[in-house]
Amino acid sequence: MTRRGILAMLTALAVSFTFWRLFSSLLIPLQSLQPVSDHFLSHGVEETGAINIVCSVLLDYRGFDTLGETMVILASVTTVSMLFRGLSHSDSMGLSLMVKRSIGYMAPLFWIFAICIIMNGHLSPGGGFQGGVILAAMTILFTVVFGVEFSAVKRVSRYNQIIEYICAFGFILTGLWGLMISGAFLGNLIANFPAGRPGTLYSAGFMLLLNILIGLKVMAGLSSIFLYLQKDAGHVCIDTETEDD
Amino acid sequence: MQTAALLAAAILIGLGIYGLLSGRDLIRLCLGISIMETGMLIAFAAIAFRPGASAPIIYQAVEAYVDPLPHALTLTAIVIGAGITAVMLSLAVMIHSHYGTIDIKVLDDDMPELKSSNRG
Repeated sequence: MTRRGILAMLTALAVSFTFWRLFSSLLIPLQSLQPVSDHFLSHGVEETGAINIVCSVLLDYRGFDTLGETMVILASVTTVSMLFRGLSHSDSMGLSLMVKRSIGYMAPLFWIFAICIIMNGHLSPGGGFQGGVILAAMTILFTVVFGVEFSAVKRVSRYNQIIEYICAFGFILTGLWGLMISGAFLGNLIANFPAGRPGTLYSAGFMLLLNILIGLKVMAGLSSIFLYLQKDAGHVCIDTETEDD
Repeated sequence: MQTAALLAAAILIGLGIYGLLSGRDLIRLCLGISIMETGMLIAFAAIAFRPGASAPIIYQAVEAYVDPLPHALTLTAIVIGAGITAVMLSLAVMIHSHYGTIDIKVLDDDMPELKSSNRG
């Protein structure tokens, strides 16, 4: 093993051990809940209307952070699209007829699963991000199985950007509505969004709307990242091709 | 339970650091960073865990819930990690298509324009 490898291994062991000591001796003994977590757990349902406390933290208490998070996806999609600008899609014909037919039968179940996860985000584990990732995986599956020339894939790649912008704009408009009614950006129940009965589908104010918007946005963002990354980057070697010795 | 999860997280972070330091391959660096992220997420889940507590979904009387805050942070970290991975991989693809290699040492030694910008 080279000197470089030994040094890397020693550093890795040191970092690993430090991490282990730090977390096991400092953080884990704090078994009592922090006051803020305690507040979320004891008042979360009455203040936000959602029984899934993680969702109420993400979309209500810290909704502004989630807006920033969706902007991170938008920024990374913009970067990738800038890097791969002007390249053509690699030509793939897809897999065999058997695979195409069976995916055709299974696709509706995948769609129902993703939509169920998005719509029940405030009621059960899940939400816009998770369901959106499943929808993006559907795009990837369709591209791999049916090829890039498949019409649904082409349609997705055409409308991705506009779906993404509309969803980001809708998120900001929802926040501005809260600002207008209650004086707080992304104010939920204080901005007279209907609370409903906790535990039912139409509850928790704007969380259903925001979950749908985030799901569509994540779907558009991740599938357009995939469609950019599978583009054919082999032909852009300009003048600095390495010479064979 | 928490100890096992923390051990797994520490091992994953050590593996990621080793991959970052020992490799000269850009794809390998991307993999190292992703593995470190995964270790950090497992550490978050271990912090949130409390013995005997149930998931923070309030529809029946349970004596204790786990901490919901690290879960929300984990969700944020997963999404941002996906974005970072996408940007890293596309930069690696672009570097390969422009310079014909993703070896950092080759890039550093054989490319005079990169060298002059690196060494001032």
